[in-house]
Amino acid sequence: MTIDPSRYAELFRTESREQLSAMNRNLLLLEQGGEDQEALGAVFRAVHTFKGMCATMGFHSVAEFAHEVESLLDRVRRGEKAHTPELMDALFAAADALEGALEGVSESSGMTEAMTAALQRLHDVAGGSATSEFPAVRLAGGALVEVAAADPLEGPGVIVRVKQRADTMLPGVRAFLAVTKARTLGDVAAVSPSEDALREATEPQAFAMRLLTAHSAEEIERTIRTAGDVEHVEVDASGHTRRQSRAVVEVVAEGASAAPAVAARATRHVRIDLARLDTLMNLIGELVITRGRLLQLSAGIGDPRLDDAMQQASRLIADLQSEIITSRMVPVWQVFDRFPRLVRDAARQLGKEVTFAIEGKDIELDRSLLDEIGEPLVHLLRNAMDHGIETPEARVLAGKPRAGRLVLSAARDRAAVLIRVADDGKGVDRAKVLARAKAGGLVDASVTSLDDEQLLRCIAQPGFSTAEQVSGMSGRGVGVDAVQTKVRTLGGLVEMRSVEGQGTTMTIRLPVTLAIVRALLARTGSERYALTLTHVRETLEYGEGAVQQVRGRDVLVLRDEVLPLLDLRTVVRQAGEPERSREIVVIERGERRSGLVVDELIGQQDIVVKQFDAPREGLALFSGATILADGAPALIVDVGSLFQGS
Amino acid sequence: MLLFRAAGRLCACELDAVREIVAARPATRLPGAPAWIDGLVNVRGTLLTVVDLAVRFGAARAEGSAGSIVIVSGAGKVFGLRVDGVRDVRTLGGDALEPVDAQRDAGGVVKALAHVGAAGDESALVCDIEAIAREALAVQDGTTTHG
Repeated sequence: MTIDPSRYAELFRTESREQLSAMNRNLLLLEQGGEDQEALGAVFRAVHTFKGMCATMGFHSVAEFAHEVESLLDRVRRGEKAHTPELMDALFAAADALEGALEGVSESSGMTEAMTAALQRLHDVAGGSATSEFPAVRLAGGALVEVAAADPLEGPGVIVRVKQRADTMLPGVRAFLAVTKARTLGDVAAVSPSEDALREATEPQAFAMRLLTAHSAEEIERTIRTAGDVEHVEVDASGHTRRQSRAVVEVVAEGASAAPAVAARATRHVRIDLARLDTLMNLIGELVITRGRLLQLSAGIGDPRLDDAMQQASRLIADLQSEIITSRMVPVWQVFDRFPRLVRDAARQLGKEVTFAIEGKDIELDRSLLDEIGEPLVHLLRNAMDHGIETPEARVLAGKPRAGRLVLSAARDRAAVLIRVADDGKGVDRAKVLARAKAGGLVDASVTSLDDEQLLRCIAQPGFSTAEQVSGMSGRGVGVDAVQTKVRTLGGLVEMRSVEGQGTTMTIRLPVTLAIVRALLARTGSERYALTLTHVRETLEYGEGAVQQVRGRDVLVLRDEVLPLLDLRTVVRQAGEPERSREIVVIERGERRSGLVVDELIGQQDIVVKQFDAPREGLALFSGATILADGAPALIVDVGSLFQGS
Repeated sequence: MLLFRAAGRLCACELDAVREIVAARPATRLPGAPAWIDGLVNVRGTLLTVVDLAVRFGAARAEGSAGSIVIVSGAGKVFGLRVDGVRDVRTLGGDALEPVDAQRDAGGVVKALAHVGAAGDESALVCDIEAIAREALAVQDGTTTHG
């Protein structure tokens, strides 16, 4: 096997980010909890592992820097350095410098400016070089190779020893299953022999794992036994105390290649290049389309045996598709986890007190969506702290607790994921926004109040509040237009609810996955269009009773509600006469609803969203296109954009 | 150069720009686009915008699915040219090429006039693929590209 350095670079990047994320998370805990040995230990381990990874990759300047940080931490751990706010700031600065250094790092890179500055701060705090008593071990070749602690089972948690029965069939699979079962109880910090080795095992195994869990030994044993073919389970809680005496061993391994050191780390997941998942997604998309064609063909032939086989293949394809979609899903904490740090920094900067909570960490979202959503969320969180949450003094005056409450939450809602940023601040000053909107000609002079949706539309105007010079204006325009633009390109939408004096909630509604969406196929004349279901509320027959004329315009009367009617035929500028029997799709975006008249509803279908090069002119109504069962392309109507003109 | 017919005329384009030639197929109309944009077609799972060269040169739209689509790349985009049929591949250049006069240039998309045939009895309009790409697709700014 040839080693492709770029693959390791990618692995390094992902794993080193995880270590930095752990470092940040535990630094926050440390800051909040004072002398928290657990958190301190975790920070130390994260930096230590990070250092080892950098050294393995040959990134010496970064490794050296990490080493300095580690040395300082070690002194703190041994009680030689007291916890001070300056120390915490220096450590946070160091974490930032390390993160910055990861960008474009190479074997020959030197220290970045941020690293030099952070190092200076560390030295200031430590009172002289922190490293004096902790010399780095170096090879003639310059490589500082580190082997993680000799026994991976040393550390916090309980040690679970599992022995498989002698007659175990597929011992590798069973062992793997046992580890998977253990994960349902908590974090599996280490497995020995390694998980990869276990999975390959062909002989019955005796293995051990270190499990971070609050469950009792009986529960652990019972859970692991469900993996099957388990002869014996032993739960040892004494491992926890051994941690104190754990020594950090730095070993120089001559001529060791980079690969084993990286691979030896206990991996909990198999990492797959996102591009490969994209390819899989495209392939399954093609397969789904082909299935549609095959089903049509086999229905035409009418052979029951063929139908049977087709049904089975069809079900398998559906299962495969959902598996592939699932494999692309990642929990939102992967992005949310960096926000506590951001909130802390921003609160300090703004002189505000903020209690930050994250809810729904485990809600999953398509990887590609999650990657894109971080930036908009940063905007929203900053806005909430900058414009929403008041200063502690102002809050006390208003009869609120000194610290503002900021909640970032994720929740599933049918085929959508809702991500909310809610604060209990002062809310948007509607009167000011209205005055500004009138001055800017955004709303009619006769308007006396703005509802939430109008409010959002006003402040999402590019430059709406940046142009506003009045101080104390609680506009949330900073970046709201950017947030809205970004979210729209992801097929989602932004909603806002603001109550003066009580706070503001911004909601981002996103489809769970980008590539395959459930859509309603509609026909108008000879053309077919796909309407994404996110915006479809219900469908109904075009009846005389429901459709009435108000001031010369057709409207839809639906349960005492009068909705404007749009005709898809007009929307897509189709020539010819409408058909006699037609149907109505009730579409909604936020609070707004509307009826869309089509000639025929063909049905619901999972469609694969494809991008295409749009012509220069042409309606900006489409969020992509899909290929129908007969192979013809159909445009996907972005229902949200239909509300713009009405 | 690839020689083909569109709107009854002999046309040509650089062979380097040609990716593939496929049979014409019904295109999905792109609402709001000019008439000379034939629409969107599916070529083995990839969606391509097709320019109807005949309509672009002022002739009537070819009905049905006769003819071919020449898939070309220019200005960083891949798109299709709907043509009546592909004729030949020839080396044209030097003396055979003649600057096109303004009257025969259909709005900047014809680069040159090429003399084809033994006695130069026929001339072909050499299409400027880059210019067609720029004219038809949102090339300069990527923002209108769906994605």
